[in-house]
Amino acid sequence: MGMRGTQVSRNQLAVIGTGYSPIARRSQLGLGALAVNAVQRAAEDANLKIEDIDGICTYTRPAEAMPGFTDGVDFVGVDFLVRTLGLAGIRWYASLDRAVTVAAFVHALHAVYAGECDYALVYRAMHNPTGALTANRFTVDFADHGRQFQAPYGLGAQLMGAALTYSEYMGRYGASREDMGAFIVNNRHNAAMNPDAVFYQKPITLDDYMNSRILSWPMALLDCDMPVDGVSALIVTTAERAKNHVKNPVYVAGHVTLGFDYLHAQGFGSWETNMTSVGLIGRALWSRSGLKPSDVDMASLYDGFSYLMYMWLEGLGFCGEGEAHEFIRDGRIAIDGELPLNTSGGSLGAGRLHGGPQLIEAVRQIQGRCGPRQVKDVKVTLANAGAPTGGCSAVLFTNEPVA
Amino acid sequence: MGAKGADGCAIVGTAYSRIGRQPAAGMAALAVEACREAVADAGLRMDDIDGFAAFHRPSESMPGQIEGIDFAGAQLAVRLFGLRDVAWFCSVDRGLFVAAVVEAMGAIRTGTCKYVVVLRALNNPTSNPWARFVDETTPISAAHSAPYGLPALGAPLPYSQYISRYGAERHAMASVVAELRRNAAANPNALFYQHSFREDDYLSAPMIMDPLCVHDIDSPVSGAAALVLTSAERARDLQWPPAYVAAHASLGFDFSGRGVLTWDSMMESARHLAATVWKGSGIGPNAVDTVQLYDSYSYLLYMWLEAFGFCDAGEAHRFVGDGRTSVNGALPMNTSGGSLGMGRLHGAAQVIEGVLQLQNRCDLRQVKGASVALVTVGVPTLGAGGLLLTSEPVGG
Repeated sequence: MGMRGTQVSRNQLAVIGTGYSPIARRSQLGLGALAVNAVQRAAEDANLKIEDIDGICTYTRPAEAMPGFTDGVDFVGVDFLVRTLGLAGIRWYASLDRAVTVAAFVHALHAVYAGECDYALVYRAMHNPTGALTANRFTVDFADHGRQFQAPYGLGAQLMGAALTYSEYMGRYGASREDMGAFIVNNRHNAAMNPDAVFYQKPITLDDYMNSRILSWPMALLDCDMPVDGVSALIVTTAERAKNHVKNPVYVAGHVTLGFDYLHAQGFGSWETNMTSVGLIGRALWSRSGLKPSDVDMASLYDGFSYLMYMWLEGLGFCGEGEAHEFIRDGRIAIDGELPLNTSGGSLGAGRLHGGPQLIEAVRQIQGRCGPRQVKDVKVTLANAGAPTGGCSAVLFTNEPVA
Repeated sequence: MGAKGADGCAIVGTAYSRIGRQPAAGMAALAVEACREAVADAGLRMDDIDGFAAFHRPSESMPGQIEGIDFAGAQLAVRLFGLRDVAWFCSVDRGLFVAAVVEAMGAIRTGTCKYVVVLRALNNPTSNPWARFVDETTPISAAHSAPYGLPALGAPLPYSQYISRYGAERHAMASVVAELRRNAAANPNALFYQHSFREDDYLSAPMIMDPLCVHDIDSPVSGAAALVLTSAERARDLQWPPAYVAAHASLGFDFSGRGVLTWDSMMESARHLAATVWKGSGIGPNAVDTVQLYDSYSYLLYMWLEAFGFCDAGEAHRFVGDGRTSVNGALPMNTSGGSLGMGRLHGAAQVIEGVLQLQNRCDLRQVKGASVALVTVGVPTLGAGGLLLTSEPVGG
């Protein structure tokens, strides 16, 4: 694909509306109600009647899937929303369990381009169940299959796998936890200015980060995104139709869904496995869009775990190999810096919505709607989400069709 | 762009792995087998494949399941084949096989991919974990049904509703199931290949949940199926005549929100799907040469026949009589044996049989001159899809 030239759908698709439900660690409202609320706000933003939505797409997977999970309560699937919103004209849907919300967005782009539907709703609803997640614990006394080679060494699940990959980077390139602090503090600084963020008005200092409890070295509490109750929603249509709805549609210059573990490493994989995958994602993204890293005015890169930022910055070509931990210093990623990064606060600051805030912020920055965290003269933004070896998508947005 | 019609894609290669109640090989190996042979069937090389789509969910999701052992999807296939130039992948969790086909079409039609493999692999676990009460409390979704003895969704309810409302008899279904098993007996890819089966076998079989007996429910298997999808334009130059996708839809919502299946909510959803498929092609029921209808539960056949307008409401149980749906009948149905004869492959068997019929490759079960095939997949309220396949491109 990398060598194939720009994509036919380039410039043909646009976002016309975005919306968040109230976002909180624990909401007083049920998740179904939050989802309806987010869709109402996105539709209103798009000057679109809800009944005109004829396509719907989501990434459904709960933070932790349990038997008996109920649609509209523990998660919000397409079935619940189609029924509850009364979308009688529904013509297309997709419900995904890989590559999170940005992949769902990519499917919506495909569907609208192919004429499956005129107005596609993309949403992500996340419920934060009471009690602690068990995903990072050992809950069985027997390690079978692949786990037999990991569990006895303390590698239980995602968090420990992430810590391993991150520590590999630190060892190889001499990065320190202080280096990461620059990114974390910047994120929270941005989130503090974002009324839709779970950490709105709650900035932190480098000391706060350095004193944050270590969960699995080098991963501290503040290296992990905050589980929330909340919903994000976007409306996609054709560039042609978009003009009938809003003054400032945001165009899609390129999109990619990839992310494979070619080396079949267990867990999150080695640094190298991840970088192979990110390299392929970057190659496809730049060639399909005809754009390059230096064109990007603001990047919303996925930070479900903090260290993923280093992968994106290096693998997508914003800096050289092993340089990301230095790149993020000296205000370069601040709102008035060379590459404003995660102005929404990212997942670490805005909350765990698996790519929704990444997309919405990239759209709203182009529309100039970000208040105190607005970047000047934004023409090109990048949003991505996912894990490099577990499915990952990226989208480039522009203020007008790309030449 | 937009509203392009559905004439843009075609299925150009299909294959099954070995299929059995017990696995002939590991899940990953069976998935590789199906993908590799589907690509070869299309006359392509694995290097030509630049997209993978799958519905990979195991029959029963359980903690600790591992890709390659308990299930196999698009990412595993890409990794095992070592394909570095893949342009896209997807994994859907609703809508079974056709949902993955429809998403693959989107990737082809946007120019993201040239050739996409769509995969369904299913492992039949050695334990039998299905549809049992395992907890002392029920989830919210089953709070109004489980205390009355209805585990899961209540699969038998719509059928008993149908029976009492329209006076359908179990003899009618016995002849349908026997017909399907005769088709399966002639299909080397079927689980029940060369197995003899008579209507008496059906009528004397143990009830699982009245009125569903063991032969009304598809058999879980370990196996995989795959197809190759490309643009109509590229399809012309390949090994076999293409099966063009003249219309498609992936829908299937429970508008009633009852949770428990009812005949009316399923019909409402099935009609919505049917209307979308017919509207997409300009073709009507009369033009269809063969139907490959999803029959994980036997009575779904009645539902599809009525919803898609092959007969009136309440008449399907009579419509299927007199050999009308046999291979030589007016509307040959599930010539492969369907899910009941082939095993539970979540719709892959329906799609593949539709393609093979149009390619005139079905040997003893071939429908003469088949040029239009309707395929349905899924349970209407839980995510279902329809494909209308034609041997010539429709609508330019």
